[in-house]
Amino acid sequence: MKTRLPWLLVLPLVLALTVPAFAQGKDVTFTYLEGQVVTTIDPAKHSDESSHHAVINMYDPLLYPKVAEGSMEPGPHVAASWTITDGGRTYTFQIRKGVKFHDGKELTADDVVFSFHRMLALKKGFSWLWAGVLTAEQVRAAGSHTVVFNLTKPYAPFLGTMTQLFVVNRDRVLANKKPGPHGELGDYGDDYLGSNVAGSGPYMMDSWDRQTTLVMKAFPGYWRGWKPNQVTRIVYRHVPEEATMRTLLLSGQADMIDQWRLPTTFEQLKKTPGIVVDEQPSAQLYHIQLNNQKPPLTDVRVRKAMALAFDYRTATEQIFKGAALARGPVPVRVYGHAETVKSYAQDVEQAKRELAAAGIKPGQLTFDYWFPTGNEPGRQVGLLFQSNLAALGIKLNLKEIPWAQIVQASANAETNPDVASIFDTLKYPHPDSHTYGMYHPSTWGSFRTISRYKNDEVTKILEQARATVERDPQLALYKRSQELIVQDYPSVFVANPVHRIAFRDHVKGYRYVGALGYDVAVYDFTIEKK
Amino acid sequence: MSIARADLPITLAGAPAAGIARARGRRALRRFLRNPLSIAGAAVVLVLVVCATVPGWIAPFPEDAGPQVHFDRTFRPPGSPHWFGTDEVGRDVLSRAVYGARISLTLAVVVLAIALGLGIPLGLVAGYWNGTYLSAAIMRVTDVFLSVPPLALALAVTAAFRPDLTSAMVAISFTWWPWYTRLVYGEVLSKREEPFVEAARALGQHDLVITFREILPNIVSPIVIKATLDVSFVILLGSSLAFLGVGAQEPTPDWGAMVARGRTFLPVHWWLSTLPGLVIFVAVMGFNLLGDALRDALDVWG
Amino acid sequence: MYYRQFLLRRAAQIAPAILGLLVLIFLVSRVMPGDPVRLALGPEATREQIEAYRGKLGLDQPLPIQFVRYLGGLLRGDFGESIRTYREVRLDLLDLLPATIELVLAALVLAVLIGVPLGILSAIYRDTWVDNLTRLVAVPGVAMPRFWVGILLQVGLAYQLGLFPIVGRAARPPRKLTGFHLLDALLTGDAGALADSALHLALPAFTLALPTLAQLARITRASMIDVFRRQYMLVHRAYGVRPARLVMRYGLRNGLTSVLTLVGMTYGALIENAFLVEVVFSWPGLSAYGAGAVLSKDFNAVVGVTLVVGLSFMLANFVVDVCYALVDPRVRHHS
Repeated sequence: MKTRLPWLLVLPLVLALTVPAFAQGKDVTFTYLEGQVVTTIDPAKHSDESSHHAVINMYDPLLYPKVAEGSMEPGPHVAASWTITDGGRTYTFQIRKGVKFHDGKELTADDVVFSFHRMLALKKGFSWLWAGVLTAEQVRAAGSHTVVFNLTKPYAPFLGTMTQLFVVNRDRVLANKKPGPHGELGDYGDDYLGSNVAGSGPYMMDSWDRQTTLVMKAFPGYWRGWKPNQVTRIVYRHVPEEATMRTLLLSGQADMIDQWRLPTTFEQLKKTPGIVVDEQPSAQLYHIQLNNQKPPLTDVRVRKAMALAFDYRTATEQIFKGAALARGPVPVRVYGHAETVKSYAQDVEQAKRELAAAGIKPGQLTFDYWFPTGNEPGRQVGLLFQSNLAALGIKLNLKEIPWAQIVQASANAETNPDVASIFDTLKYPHPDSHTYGMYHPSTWGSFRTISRYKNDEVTKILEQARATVERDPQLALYKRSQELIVQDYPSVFVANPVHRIAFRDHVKGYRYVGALGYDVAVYDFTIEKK
Repeated sequence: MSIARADLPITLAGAPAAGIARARGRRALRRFLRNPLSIAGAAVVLVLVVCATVPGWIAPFPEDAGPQVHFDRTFRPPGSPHWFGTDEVGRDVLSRAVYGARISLTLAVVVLAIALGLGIPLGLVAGYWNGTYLSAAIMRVTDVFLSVPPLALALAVTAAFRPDLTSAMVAISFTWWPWYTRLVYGEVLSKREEPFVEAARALGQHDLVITFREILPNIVSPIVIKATLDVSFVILLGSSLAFLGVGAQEPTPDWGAMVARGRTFLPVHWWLSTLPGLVIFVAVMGFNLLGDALRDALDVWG
Repeated sequence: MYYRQFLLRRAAQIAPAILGLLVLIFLVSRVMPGDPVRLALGPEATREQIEAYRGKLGLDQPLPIQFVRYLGGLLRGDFGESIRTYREVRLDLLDLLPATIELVLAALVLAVLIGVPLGILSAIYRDTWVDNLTRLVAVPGVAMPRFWVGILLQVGLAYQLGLFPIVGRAARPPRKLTGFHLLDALLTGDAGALADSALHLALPAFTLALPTLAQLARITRASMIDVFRRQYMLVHRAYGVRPARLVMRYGLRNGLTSVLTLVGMTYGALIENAFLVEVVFSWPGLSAYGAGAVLSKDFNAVVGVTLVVGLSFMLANFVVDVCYALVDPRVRHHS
């Protein structure tokens, strides 16, 4: 027994090493590494990048940004065409025929209406987009392939928001509903869609190990059809470490890694043969949000002092390595950005004066600065800010918090953080995303609105802007709102970072248009293996 | 140290006369100095204590242990003048490591103070009054604490509070005191039956006084040895907790946290993780060697 | 006769320990700041809903009653829901436990397979280079922080030399049967997955095993030397029996008790050092889950992990005591 044991161990190893791994089959696999865990796969609840990636690949939205044309503008998708009538108050969509769900059932108007009702009822994710604009009764099916939306008032960004309406399989969801607070609709499939997919998207869910990997496989009956060299299997892996991601990409074990890497990492990757680093000006705001509802941050002078203490130059040049300085909340490249809005600048003496005027003495204040786990730029900005605020006699505690917890905590006034480092990418192609979406009180309760800003004049202007149909007056109102917001110092607006993403050069078809998540719709890629 | 009854002509057997004590001390010192490893351990400990008490004298860039950033000198590899290199925001790693000694040693001192302060009296009581319910109760509680792995318990306790240095200190103390209770309990049990204790009892001394003034001085050696060795293990446990995120917060330097942070930049900027780890290793070895040397020198067989 | 008594007595000792652990965890959880009700219900909850839920959870009752209900829940296997994964903690634990157990077992096997022979060789070839090398490794072995060793091995063997994968448990996992990758790969005959999982397991298991390996080598060496000195060994040598046979037949059996004790003692150390190794190698096990739970105040997960770790620790001690008693009759009678 003593002598046989070693052989028992050696033999399988020898076999394993000599037998080649030919279990690959004809699968074209695409491996993507993301620093954040996929928080949900439910299309009524998704809001952040990782959940967006999951949803965009397994479900279809009503409208889709024209990525192939390099534009964010919404174009036909599940909706083949539409008409706008009644002064911008009625939208009638014709639903494309022949779109099949993963279980074979055809997608009809009923499914679209159901999906919309579901989003409104569950009140999560992007449901806030239609607050005050639409209720469930105002959306109905007029025939098997026609959906009518009767808006309460004209709503400028409406078409753009339809890129966030993902269609679920009504019959399947209802067949799996559990008891819940929505009357005969039970829990509206809340439980079921938390772990299962009832979609029509190009990929189906193969397996999901929540802490590590989401595996998706191609849906043969997808309505857009398949071409050779498209991806048939997606391995979406959660890897929390920068160094590991870089190494896996370099070794070829991963095909693409997420955009949140260090600028130094991208510098290295750019010089590496076989790796492509795509660089585009982004429609992304990086800012340090301040909780406007929590004393002493309720005093604009305190907020202004903190904003004036920050070293913007070091942040944009050293930490972000060449980002554009933020000028207000709306990213500079988005149309509707107000040219009159200037960026904040460091002025330590003025900061001290503001603090003194607010009656604060050095050493009196301490704040907790939250930044997402593994987010190195957020951490470095934190160290910089900590050092800047120390000059004012304000103590800043750095707290690295898991993203899911930040999302959870911001939902409630009591748990909302005081100071938080947030990247906010344009959610839909309109300046409304970074004005109404962040500074109207109805949107409080998400990571986008940690600042909990309330200014009645701004609120009125934003509501008016949304109701204005003509382009020029509409934009003028949005620009006015930006001017007012900036004067209130609700956040420390730092930068519009350059969007960078690294992938292996055999991945073709990548296009970044600025909208969150749509650049990793794997259906658009082809893999050219040499 | 001995019985304070100056009117008694005899010194009782358990308390060595002053002259004998001095001779023992000299012999121990000679034994200690003969072993090169002992000297090495003592030297390391001395350096650490100096770093902890007057870091400003040793560290070349003391301001880097505070809220300072120097983005113009990030990621310098080890070399002059940054012998341990600089980190991702340009701070001198060596200076931060020096200040880190203060954190680690403070942790060890506080933890051991609490552990000794709690564990010794409990052990004395449980040992002297062995056979009573009180004694049994104390030992049962001790068993419970001993049956949980320290890191797990420490993490669970820190879950109740903020993940910072204070929590770490409280949590580790929680898990450490039982060892001393058990040690002292055993020692007291063995010393109880000795003649000098019998004599003290015969002389009418109160039990409590006997415990603290007679028995305690005679079990100091094993306690001191264990405490020295324990410093090394507390430093190890503390740096493990810091590695997991429960330790001193930025910008205060903490060895374990520095190792954890440096992992992001492996393998290119290897010095950020490996050098602080080396410092932990040297510190732990130092106290370990010192403890071993003390044990050999004092020639105590528990 | 005595043995059964011993077993019963030993088992009886565990009960209060477990109870104590539960009380401890319960108290810790109630001290924790943050409102578990709010977290459970989510942001939309109205005040009425919160009060109702609080009543349902029994949080308005006095502490002792709460404790009893809590115990009841645990006995039913209900650990509650994790606020990070939105899943029942029980399910999370079942998913992750095999990964940690596989790691710990592999480390144990490595420690024994390498440490014991090393100790024996050291004893046989005492004071030669073999012996000195072993002692060189063994003495600092205990002092080296596990996470540091892991990082060194990772940088050296994985990054620089590319001999092993850097992180993770598997790039191609076998089909899930038991949750133990090596076993599953063998059962499904998947040679590729077996090699893949074994390579991923190698560095983490070795890192975890190192201090234990060092201690085992030292103890085996010491007990072997002790055995060699005994009278009957000298007699056998005089009669010309080969040293190897002597080691096998006599040395090992007597050295076994020390090894066994050490294994039992270090099991606890292995479990908790698994925390550190799992983080360094991104091993998807219990410890990484627990460490993350602590940092995000995921109360239910913290309780779940602490309980599982604490209980298994106690169980391991119990098993070791039992085996020890089996081997050494003096133990049974003495305690």
